[in-house]
Amino acid sequence: MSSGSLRRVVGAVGRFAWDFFVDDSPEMLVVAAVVVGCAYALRGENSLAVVALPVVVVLGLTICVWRALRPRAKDPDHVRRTGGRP
Amino acid sequence: MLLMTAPTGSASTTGLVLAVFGASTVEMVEALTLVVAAGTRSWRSALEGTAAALVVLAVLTAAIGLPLAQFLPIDTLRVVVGTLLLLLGLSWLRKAILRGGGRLAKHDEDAIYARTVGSLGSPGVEVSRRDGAAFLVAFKGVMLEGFEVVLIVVSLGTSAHRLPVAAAAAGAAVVLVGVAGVVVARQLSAVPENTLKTIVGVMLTSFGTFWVGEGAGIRWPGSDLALVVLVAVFAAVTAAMVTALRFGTPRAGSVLRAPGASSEEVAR
Repeated sequence: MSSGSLRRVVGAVGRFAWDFFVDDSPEMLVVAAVVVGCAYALRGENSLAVVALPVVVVLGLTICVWRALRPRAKDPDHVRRTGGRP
Repeated sequence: MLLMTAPTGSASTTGLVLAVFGASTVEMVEALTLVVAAGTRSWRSALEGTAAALVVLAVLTAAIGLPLAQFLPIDTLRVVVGTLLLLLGLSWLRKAILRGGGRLAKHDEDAIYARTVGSLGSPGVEVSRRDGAAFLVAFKGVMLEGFEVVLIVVSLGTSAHRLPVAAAAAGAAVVLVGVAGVVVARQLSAVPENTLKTIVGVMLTSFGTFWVGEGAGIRWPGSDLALVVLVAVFAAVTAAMVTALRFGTPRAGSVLRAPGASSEEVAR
C-alpha cells in the first residue's frame, strides 16, 4: 500500500472513530479525560476518589446536556432569531 | 478483588449481561429496520447481507477481544475500556435525556423504514432474486449498528474476563430480535427504544466509572456491589434531569431538536 493510500485509510479510520465516539459533543471527551485524570490523581486518597469520580461524571453529563440545549450560532433557528449573534 | 477471585455470580456479571443484552437489543432493532426495508427489494440478498455482517462482527469480536484480554495488563485494559464505556455511556445518556425531556426528536423506526424503502426504489420483479443494493443496505446497517455492540461486548467482556458471557448475551439479543422480527414481520417500532437506551446508558456509564477507578488503583467499597450504587446514582440523576427538562421552559427552537444536534443525530 502506498503512503498516500495509507494516509487516506488512516484519515478515514480517524474520522470514523471521531464521529463514532465524539460526534458533535467534544466535551464528552474532556469529561472522560478529567475522570481518568482524577482517578490517577486521587488513587492515594481512596475514600475521596470513590466520591469524586461519580460526582465528576454527573457534572460532566450535566454540562453535556446543558451545552446541547444552548443556542449555537450555526443553528438555523438561532441565526434566524438573532442574526447569528452568539 | 472480587472479580479476580470469584469468577461467577457477582453483581458485575449480572450487570454485564443486562448491559450487553440491552445495548444489543437496541442496536439490533435499528439494524432490523434496515434489513426489513432491504427485504422489500430482495429478501434473499437482505438475509445474505445480514449473515455476512454478523460473521464479520463475530470475527472482529474474537480478533480484537482475545488479544486485548491476553496481552494487555489488566489495569491498563480497564482504564482503556472504562474510558470507551464512559464515552459511549455518556453519549447514550445525553441523547436519552434530551429525548426523554422532549428536546430532541425520538428515534422513529417507521420514518427510517419508509425513507430506506423509498431510497431503494421499487424492485419491479419478484423479491426472491439477488439484489446488490439490498445486500449492501442490510450489510451496512448490521455492520454499523453491530460495531457498537462489538465495542461494548469487547470492553465489558475483556475487562471482566467474561468475553464468552458477553458475546453470548449479545448473541441472545440478536436471536431474540430476529425471532421477534420474523413473528411481527416488520420493524419493531413499538420497542421502547429510548427507555432501553437510558437503562443501557446508565449501565455503561456506571461500568465505565467503575473500571476507570479500578484500573487506576482505586478500591471501591463493597467491590462489585459499588456498581449497584453507581447505577442507582446515575439513574436518579438521569431521572431528575429528564424531569427538569420536561417541566422546564423550553427555549424557542429547542423542542424536539436540540440546537446542538445535527439533523443526522435527530434521525440516528
